[in-house]
Amino acid sequence: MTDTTLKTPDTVYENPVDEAIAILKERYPAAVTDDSRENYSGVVVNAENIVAVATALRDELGFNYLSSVTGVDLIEDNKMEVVYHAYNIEQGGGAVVLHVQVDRDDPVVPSLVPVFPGADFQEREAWDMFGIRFDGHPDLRRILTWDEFNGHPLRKDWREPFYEDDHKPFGSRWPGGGVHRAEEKNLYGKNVQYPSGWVPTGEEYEIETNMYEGITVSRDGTPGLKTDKVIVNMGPQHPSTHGVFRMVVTLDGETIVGLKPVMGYLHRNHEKIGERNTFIQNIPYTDRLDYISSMSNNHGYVLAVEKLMGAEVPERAEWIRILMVELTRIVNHLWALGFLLNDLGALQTPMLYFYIERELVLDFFEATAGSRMMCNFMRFGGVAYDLPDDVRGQPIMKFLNDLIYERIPKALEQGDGLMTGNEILRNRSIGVGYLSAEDAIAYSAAGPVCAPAAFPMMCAALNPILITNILILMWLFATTAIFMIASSFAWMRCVKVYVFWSRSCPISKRLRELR
Amino acid sequence: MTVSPTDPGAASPEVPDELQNNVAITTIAKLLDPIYNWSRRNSLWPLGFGLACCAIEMICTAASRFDLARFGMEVFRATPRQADVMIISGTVTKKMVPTIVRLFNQMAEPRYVISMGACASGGGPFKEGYSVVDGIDKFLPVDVYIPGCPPTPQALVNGLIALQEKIDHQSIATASWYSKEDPMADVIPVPVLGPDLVDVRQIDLIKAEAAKAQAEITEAEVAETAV
Repeated sequence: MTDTTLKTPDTVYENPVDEAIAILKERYPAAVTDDSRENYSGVVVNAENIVAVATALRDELGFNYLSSVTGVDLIEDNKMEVVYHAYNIEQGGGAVVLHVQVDRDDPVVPSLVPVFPGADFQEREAWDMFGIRFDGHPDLRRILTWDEFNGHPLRKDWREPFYEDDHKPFGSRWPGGGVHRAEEKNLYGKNVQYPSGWVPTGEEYEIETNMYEGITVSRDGTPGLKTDKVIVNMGPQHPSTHGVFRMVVTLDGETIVGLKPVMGYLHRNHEKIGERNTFIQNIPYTDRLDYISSMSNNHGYVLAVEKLMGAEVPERAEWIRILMVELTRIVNHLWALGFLLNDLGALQTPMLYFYIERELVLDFFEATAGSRMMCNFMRFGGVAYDLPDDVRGQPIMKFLNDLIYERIPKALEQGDGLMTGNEILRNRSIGVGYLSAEDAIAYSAAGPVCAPAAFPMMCAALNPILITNILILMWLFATTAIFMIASSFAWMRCVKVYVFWSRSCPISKRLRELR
Repeated sequence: MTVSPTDPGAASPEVPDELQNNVAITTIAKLLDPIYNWSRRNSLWPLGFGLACCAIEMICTAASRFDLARFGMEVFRATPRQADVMIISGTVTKKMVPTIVRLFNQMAEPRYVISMGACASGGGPFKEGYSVVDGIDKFLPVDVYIPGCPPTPQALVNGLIALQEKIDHQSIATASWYSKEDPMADVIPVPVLGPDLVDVRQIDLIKAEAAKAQAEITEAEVAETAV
């Protein structure tokens, strides 16, 4: 099929997604069928044909960006489902959603890594959490838990050690108000459980046996001095990780020739807890997903639930939300810039410059929501509180005007002056860790990672997707760390946009009108 | 000159009467403790080690507004061998806890542990989950607990001051890390990751449980064959 057949004038589709789905159905009539379930979009694809369908989707229909691979446990039908979302980067618009359903007892799906390299981590996550095996995956290891972990935690019938009930409020605590410590009910006094009859030895845990598989250290056959490559484990405690992330790095002399990221050191099972929670109980958890931008996470979650509810938000609340989210974003970017310098070797002092305005914003958050970082501020249909009258002893509007029109632009200009022309920074950033636009798309890079590859439509054109998947966040965090060096100038550029944005910012004006 | 150990402050009969008011005789420990503790309490170097959200507030505390340097604590060391205090700043996951215990063991005595925030103290909002340790005190001896989610920088400073007060009351003479009895007493066995996190100190209990389960299975089999 060529582009000419794609653009046949006689069939008129509302959008490229419908068109792509129609073409797929026509081409694979036996393998691709409509999803007949209520309120589901997309098509159901036979497991055997998923690679062929995905290849056609990428090469011929232009849906070249695989944003997510998600496992779903359909326990009632005794099935496991894998959901793929593919986007068309050039045209924008919505996603083509592919559902693949397989038997729950032995779920095997062909791997899409050969088609979309970005499926790598996500398929590993689906294997880890749901036990779906991806045939042909080059490195199907557990990603968030560890190799020996017992079971696949996101399966609906898997229970955690402190399991009480399938959903809250737990019967033991409500309405009677019973209180107990979970440790007292656990034999080991800890949050652990072991398979029945499992006998430990305490000594012979071959942790990560397959981690180092496929890393070659010998350099036979190369001319010159014969030296082996060296494997170095960097992290999870390392001054430049400032978080818990580990990299298994293969070094050839001083050059990194291979890197395997190891994550899961901060896997806090938001999803499993979220399964038990009521909808509103999840809002505080979204604060802690990406804890530097809690307001933004709140916002994403409440937007999704409001969409489900069909709820309307008062205009003033919407403006307050946008104010909060944008301030959060500035805070987040300032933090990233400060830490970029830290990671490049300018330890501690330069980053102090970027924290001053952050503290002012956090004071505003504290005055409004009651907490500096974990604001828990948004609600379905609005926000928890209105803006306060005073912040730091100043009337709110004066404070905000000073902050948005005076302090933050000055701080950003100062940061620009410190960084953009700095020779050391330029030498250590430009051309280092280069990620081409093609690679960024192929590896499903998003957000700041793809910003330096200069296709901003990635961020703007795609539908806003609610990321309930901690892996994507962790993975973004991880890849951000890796590519931040390459992206520093794009970051500075993004931040500079805020200088212009803030000068023409209508928010505080609009807020005053709505008061 | 001997001083009775039971009453170190009592006037010694060997000092002439006219000098009794001018000479203070005490034990070495009593003389040195204030100097020793004064220097230690004002140069507590934390391990540069962030786990989760609380780490961000820890970094803010070290930054210019809250300025831990006022207390001599701004020197965040990257290696545990140079650090005095480990601030467990965030959620401790099962995957991470072997590393934390290993880092603790690598710290030189005297060493202190501050459990910062709800997660480190008891699992916090993530306690019910499967991948989280319900409190670092299940593995490490904690000196100061700081409540909050996350604690504000003021709370962290308050916790560090509480640790300083604790140090003030320690004595060289009784400090466990100078005791000759069992120098390895403070070393924590590193937990291992099996089907779940295994505390090596509980291996016997786990084995006993496994044996019990095995016995039940055999019993059931015997009953089955009898039927």
